[in-house]
Amino acid sequence: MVALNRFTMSDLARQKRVEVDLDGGVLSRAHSVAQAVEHYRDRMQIRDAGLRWTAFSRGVMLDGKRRLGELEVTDTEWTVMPEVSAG
Amino acid sequence: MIHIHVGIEHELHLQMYLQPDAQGAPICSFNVTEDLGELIEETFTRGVLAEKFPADPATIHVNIRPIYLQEPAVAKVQVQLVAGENGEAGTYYQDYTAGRWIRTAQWKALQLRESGRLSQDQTAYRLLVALERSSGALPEAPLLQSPPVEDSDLDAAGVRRFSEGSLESDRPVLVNARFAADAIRRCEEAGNQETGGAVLGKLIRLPQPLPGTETRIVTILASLVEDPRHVGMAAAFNFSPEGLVEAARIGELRGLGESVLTVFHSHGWSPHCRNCKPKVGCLLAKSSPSLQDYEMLSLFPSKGTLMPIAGRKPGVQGDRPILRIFAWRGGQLKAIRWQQYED
Ligand SMILES: [Zn+2]
Repeated sequence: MVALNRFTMSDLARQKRVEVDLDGGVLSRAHSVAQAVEHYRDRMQIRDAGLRWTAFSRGVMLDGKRRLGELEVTDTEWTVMPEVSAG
Repeated sequence: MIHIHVGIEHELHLQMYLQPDAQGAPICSFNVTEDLGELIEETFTRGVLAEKFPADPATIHVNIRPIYLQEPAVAKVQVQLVAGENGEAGTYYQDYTAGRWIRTAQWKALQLRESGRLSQDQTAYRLLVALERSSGALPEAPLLQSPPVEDSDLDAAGVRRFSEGSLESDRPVLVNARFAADAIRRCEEAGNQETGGAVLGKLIRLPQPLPGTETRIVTILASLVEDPRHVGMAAAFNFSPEGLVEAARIGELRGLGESVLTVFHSHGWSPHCRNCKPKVGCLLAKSSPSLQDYEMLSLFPSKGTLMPIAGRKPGVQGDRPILRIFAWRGGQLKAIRWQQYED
């Protein structure tokens, strides 16, 4: 089975990116999608304001509980975003 | 990956007082040294977009120093970036009178009013102080990445003709006339409900700066993508992640290299705005970013992000809402000039 080795998490505007290498980085295949999103937020220094965060790959929302080792080899470009409201 | 070295001999504290001129004991105090990370990032992004600072240097030394009103009270914070070992690759600086601590103070004042520690008509005064750094409270270096910019020209970017407006010399922003008209019309139609949508656009590098500007990098806001999954109400607009992802897909289908650069929202409109009387209380928000709008920007973590808002012009009689575009300047979102174009 071919597994996902690296992927990029980016904001919706594609202005900033976090590269993840599953071989020898801070995240491994045993980590979940939600943990990867937490890593993104941490690197972007976004404070947790109690927002619901989601990751999308190829236009489809990734289940936060899924292990990174279970993702498709084509899930290399993620868009990460919170559900927000303007005031 | 840019290696960043942050040099700072102080830590910053925000103090809040019930009396002006920092009299009496502060009602609260926070260490806000961490807030400098945002200012480092804003300085970098502004420098890069203004073509005054290299986009991808191997090393950046950041020097931060307080400019005192009267020690330890801070008037401004200067953030200087030095690229390369000795600055041979470029230096750039900005002075800041604001930062995230201003929003922290505003939130805190709201809390104090809610809890009754501050009465509705009482003002909370804030003071920023710089103290000798005691512990390891060094601001964490932010992730500095220059936004992707595509080499292009006006023709290829679909800009046929300029119409009203003008440009900031260090951050020229071009807005499609149809987007501007849509935004204003939607705001007017939505009345006291907020409306909004995704904004497709891109950053391009022209062969030459436009007349009156100093940088070849131009930001284009091209079109508004609405989606029924976004929900507007009075004083709030909820963006649906699925709706935004769909807008990104539409952007890809257009094949013009656009992405969802930002989101647009309105701040409400009433027919009474035509006879606006400045002294009469109005429940509609001003057409400037609210504290909630700043929170919304976790959607767009780059300090190059623009925020278009349509709404009334407070205290001014106008037949129609106005569209304003805000950019990160001086540690907060400030309205900037922009030019309309026709495609
Ligand atoms: Zn708003």
